[in-house]
Amino acid sequence: MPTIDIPDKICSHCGGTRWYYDPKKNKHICNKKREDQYNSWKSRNIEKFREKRRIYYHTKIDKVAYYERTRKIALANPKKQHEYKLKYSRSKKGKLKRKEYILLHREQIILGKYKAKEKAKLTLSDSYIKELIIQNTNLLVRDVSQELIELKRKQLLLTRQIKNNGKDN
Amino acid sequence: MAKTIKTQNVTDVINVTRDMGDQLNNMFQKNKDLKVAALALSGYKTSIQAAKAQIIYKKLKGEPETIEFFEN
Repeated sequence: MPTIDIPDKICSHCGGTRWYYDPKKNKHICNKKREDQYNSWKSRNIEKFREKRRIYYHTKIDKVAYYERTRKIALANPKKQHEYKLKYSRSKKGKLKRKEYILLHREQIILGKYKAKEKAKLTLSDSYIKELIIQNTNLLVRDVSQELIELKRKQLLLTRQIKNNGKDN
Repeated sequence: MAKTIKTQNVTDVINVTRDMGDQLNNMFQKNKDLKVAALALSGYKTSIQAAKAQIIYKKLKGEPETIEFFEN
């Protein structure tokens, strides 16, 4: 049942005008008082609360509609989504899940990294060139400037052209 | 008469060698002469090495640009 605003009726508990109608008791209850009671019950019975929520999610809720609703909210707030994902990945649970995933899909991950490296070699991406520049030195990736990357790219393109011309001839 | 190029500091060296490499690269694109391509590559190589030296020197000494070896 939704809460309603009754401006004439002021609650002695909190001074508010939002009221919840309880059909069983056939009377209006102060919304804030109801919320406070619920929150205190929740803090005292966390496991019962989680059990109830689990049952509700798995049996009564329309999962397709729920998924669409949450997806809309996520797409509307990409920054917040990113923060939540970062927070989860840094939490204990997130780290454990990541370790499990890595153990189960080790070969897939290695293959993916190999393919990404091959693609970077073909396209001469910035990251690939930075790695070439800093190897056998004590430099870091952030020390390399864009001008240096462009220089190295020109050199690599020219060497590839020479090799290809030699192969064609 | 051979052309003389003067440089004052390491950034000049980087810029001059890079320009040399670019010019020789353009010549190679027209002529397809491998000797010209090799010279262009050596020009780029010198420029890259000078830029790397500048960065490493800056990391060690904390001063940008000025490397005494390359000064007049």
